[in-house]
Amino acid sequence: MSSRKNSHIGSKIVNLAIYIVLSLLLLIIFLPIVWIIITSFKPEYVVRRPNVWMFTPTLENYIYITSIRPIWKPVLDTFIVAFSSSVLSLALGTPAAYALARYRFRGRDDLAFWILTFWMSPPVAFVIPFFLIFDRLGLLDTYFVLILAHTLFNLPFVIWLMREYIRDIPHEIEESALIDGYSDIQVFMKITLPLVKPGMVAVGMLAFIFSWTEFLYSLILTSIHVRHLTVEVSSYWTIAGVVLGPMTAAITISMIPALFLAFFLQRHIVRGLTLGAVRGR
Amino acid sequence: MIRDPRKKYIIFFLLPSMLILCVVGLFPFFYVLILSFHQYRLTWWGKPWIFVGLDNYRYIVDWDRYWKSALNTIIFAVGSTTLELLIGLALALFLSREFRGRGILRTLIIIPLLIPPVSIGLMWRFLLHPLLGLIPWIFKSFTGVTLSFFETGSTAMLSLILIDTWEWLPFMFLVLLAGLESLPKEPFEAAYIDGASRWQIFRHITLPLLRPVMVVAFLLKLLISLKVYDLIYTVTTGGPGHTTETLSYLVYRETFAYFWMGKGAAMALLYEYMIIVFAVVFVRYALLKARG
Amino acid sequence: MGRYGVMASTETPKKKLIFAAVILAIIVIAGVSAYYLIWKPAAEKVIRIYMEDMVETEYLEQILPEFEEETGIKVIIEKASYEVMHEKLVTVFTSAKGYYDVIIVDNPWVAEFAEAGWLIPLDDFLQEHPELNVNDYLLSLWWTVGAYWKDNKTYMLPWYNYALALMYRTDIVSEPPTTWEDFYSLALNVTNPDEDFYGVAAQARRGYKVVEEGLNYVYGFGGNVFDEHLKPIINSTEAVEALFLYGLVVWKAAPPGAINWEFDEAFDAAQSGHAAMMITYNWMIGALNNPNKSATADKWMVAQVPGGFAVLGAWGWAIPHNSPHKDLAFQFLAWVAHPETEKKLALMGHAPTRKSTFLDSEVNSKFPYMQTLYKVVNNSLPIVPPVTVGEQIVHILGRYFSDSLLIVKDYLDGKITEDQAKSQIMSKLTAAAQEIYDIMSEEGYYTEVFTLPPPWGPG
Repeated sequence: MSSRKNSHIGSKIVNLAIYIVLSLLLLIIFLPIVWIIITSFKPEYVVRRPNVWMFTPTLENYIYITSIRPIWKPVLDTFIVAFSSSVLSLALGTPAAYALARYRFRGRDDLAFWILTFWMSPPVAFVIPFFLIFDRLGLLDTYFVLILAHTLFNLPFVIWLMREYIRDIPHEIEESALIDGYSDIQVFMKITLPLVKPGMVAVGMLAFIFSWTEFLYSLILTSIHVRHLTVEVSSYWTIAGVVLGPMTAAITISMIPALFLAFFLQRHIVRGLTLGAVRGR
Repeated sequence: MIRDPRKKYIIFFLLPSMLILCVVGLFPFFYVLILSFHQYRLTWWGKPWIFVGLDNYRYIVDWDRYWKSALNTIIFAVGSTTLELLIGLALALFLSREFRGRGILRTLIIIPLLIPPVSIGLMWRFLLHPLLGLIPWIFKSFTGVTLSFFETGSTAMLSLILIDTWEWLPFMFLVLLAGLESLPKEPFEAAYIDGASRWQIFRHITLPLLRPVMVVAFLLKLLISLKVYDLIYTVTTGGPGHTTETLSYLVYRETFAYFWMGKGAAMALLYEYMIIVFAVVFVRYALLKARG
Repeated sequence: MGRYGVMASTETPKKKLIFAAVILAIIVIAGVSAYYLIWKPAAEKVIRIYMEDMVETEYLEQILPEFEEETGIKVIIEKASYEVMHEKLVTVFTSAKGYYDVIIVDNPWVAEFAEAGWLIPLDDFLQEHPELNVNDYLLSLWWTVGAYWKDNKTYMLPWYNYALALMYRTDIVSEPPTTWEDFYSLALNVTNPDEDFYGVAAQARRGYKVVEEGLNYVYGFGGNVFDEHLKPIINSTEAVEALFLYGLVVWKAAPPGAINWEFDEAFDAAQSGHAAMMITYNWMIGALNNPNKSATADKWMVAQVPGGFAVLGAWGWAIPHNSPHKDLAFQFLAWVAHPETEKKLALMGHAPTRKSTFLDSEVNSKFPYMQTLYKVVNNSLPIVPPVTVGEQIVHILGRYFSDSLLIVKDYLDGKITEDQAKSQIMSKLTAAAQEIYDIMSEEGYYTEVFTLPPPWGPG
């Protein structure tokens, strides 16, 4: 049994190595974030001295972005748009992905590819016609137009990713349900959806994030009534330098609602009900 | 196994998405298509478009700078996406096991992707400042060498790739994590009972099962990288020289900064066609092979 | 439901939750959209201004209450990043419904906007308001962000200038250099990489920055971008010499990485004590000597750039053609462009545009270097005269200047000789001149012979 023992020690070393490498990785990922947060508490005379770590923390940057240049409305507006467009993309995209994954029909793969082409085009090319249509319709500077634009861009990737996740589910379960007499829709809602929950949560979160950090259309399609966070934060970039204190404070505050949502959701990216339970064993 | 279609269900499932894509997406597309055969500058407001046939396309095909940018784009996109896939996979595997604080770590790890686009470039400019930035400062304390990241074309491109990787890791991580969690449990249970090592399980079960998701994730992120503009604009503006100028940057400047709408439209469409050709090949071979 | 009973019951609440979320979202959107589209809030006198968030804006905001009290008009300033203003403004102009009543226009965009008919000419307005005294504006500024030379109409009123000047540390540099060669040898002398100290905090990033800095060298050597008939002359031997020297500065007398530096990197290097000189906007002297912003406060002084002729940039007030409240906008303009208002702002630190402000005794006693700034702005020229492809020309130069700097690097690395380097730079500049010529002819500037007004002439 010596081989067992050796492999035991060997695997312990490998384990340790993996932990070290991954911890380093996480350090690299989080170091800039820590820098942002610390910088947001620096008073003006220290803010541009990046390697000064001893300083009296101050709330002046946060006061600035909550009173003089309030960040509340941009955060709220961006949350509304991101939440709505991600929910909408999931609601529209998951059924479409289901059809593309489970049904066979002529032109199916071509259709899937055509959907993806919307994801391939440089957004900048289409922003002017987009702007012009909605200007004529008088719909500029509304939540509706931005949600629509973001949903348009989110749909292709939602559909493609959900299609893969749905494909990962063995079809036998659905087959048995269909044989038992359940309708396609019931099968989709009651069997597929629960099993593909991890995928939906991940894709939903990504759709949310893409909308949250979208810049070009948010800039062009909205002006006064809807303020998007990315546009607001960009105004801290002036030709006389980046206003670092308020910008880092804005980034820090704006992260919070998104992180709350993420924390609430990430619990659901877990291996769902196992097939064992489903088969009633 | 794929069932035979019951027509009304296909329509029911597909219609809402198709409706939005067609109604909202097709008009801009045709507008740009027609525009690409004309000469027009947005500042010629009120004046008619001048028809020039294929002139715009001819000009672009002959344009050295366009093709050099295409090369830069490929380097950037493939480099960053590959790096992200590898590291993202490692992270997903790591964080799919049970351990305390896993939930918090999984939440915090998406932070880089939450930072507004312009700010990412700006903050990395501060972090990488050769005399004052955090990273060179740490490096210098250990080695005494001054790091400068954007002095040559290759170091500038590499630095951009690394920054992009930092920003987009959460994307790969989330997609692959969900993929891992969606895999059926039986193969793993069976292998464990059979006494397979962790590495063997990973190589012969996890990887093959996860491959379709990996391929789609790679494709999607690649397509995202091909559209990058803000990062390049804030960190290098395509410099030094022309070394970090990508096609998306070029298209943006031509269309939206200088307002040559006709040329810009042709550039954007040509770019899109090139991507489509590549994607067709990619999907046909990589994706179908991964599905086995 | 047999085997599926477990699933059915655990799924319904979640499905309901999602359903509820979607409905809620739709209601919120519908409600908010309806509010803005249908029920308009009671009309007050409000005007919106679109401008950058600069120190200047803060000064303006400080004295806005006076205007609001006097006229009862509420002014909302929407602050934007310079980098996105151009794109945003153009879409705003093309919209059927206007959003902004008054805007700020940067000098490369003047001709573009004026020719497209997007700005309301101000000539009638100026006739009604002689107290605005347009002859008081500095000549270089007037033909840059005031009247448009092509049709002689006035579309803007100068708001502030950002002419470049030389900042230098008085404890290191006793006499500011007056030629670029002196500048280079001085910078090289004080450069000491082991102590992380360098002669110049250069800003050589491709794009606007490298031109903003490098063109000063070109002016100093006697070169220019255009001649007075709008033909590009950037490919001159003077320009080649200038860029070669600029390259030497960037690679040998500036901190590592300066080839990609923009304002932030250079300013931080200078204020934290790593550079002896910096070429930047003339009013930056205030920030460099401000203990809140600079670790080397009170050690800096301002002078004209070596060569005595600098790059000028300027912003002006304009009224978009689709301004929702034109008469209110004009009222604002009459107030903000008034010499008295500028004096108030200048006393706070605003960069003046009028001779009267520059020569005012109060202003001069508060800011002892004001006469230097006056000389700076008087002897400056914008990168491009007002032409409809201004922005694009700046970036064409930006690319080729950056390429030229890389050529100098090759020379310093020993890959090519000095003569080869200079001839390569010449071909780059010739390519630039060609590109500029092409787009200028596409825009119709060579169908007749145009002559630019006085500030332009041999550089």
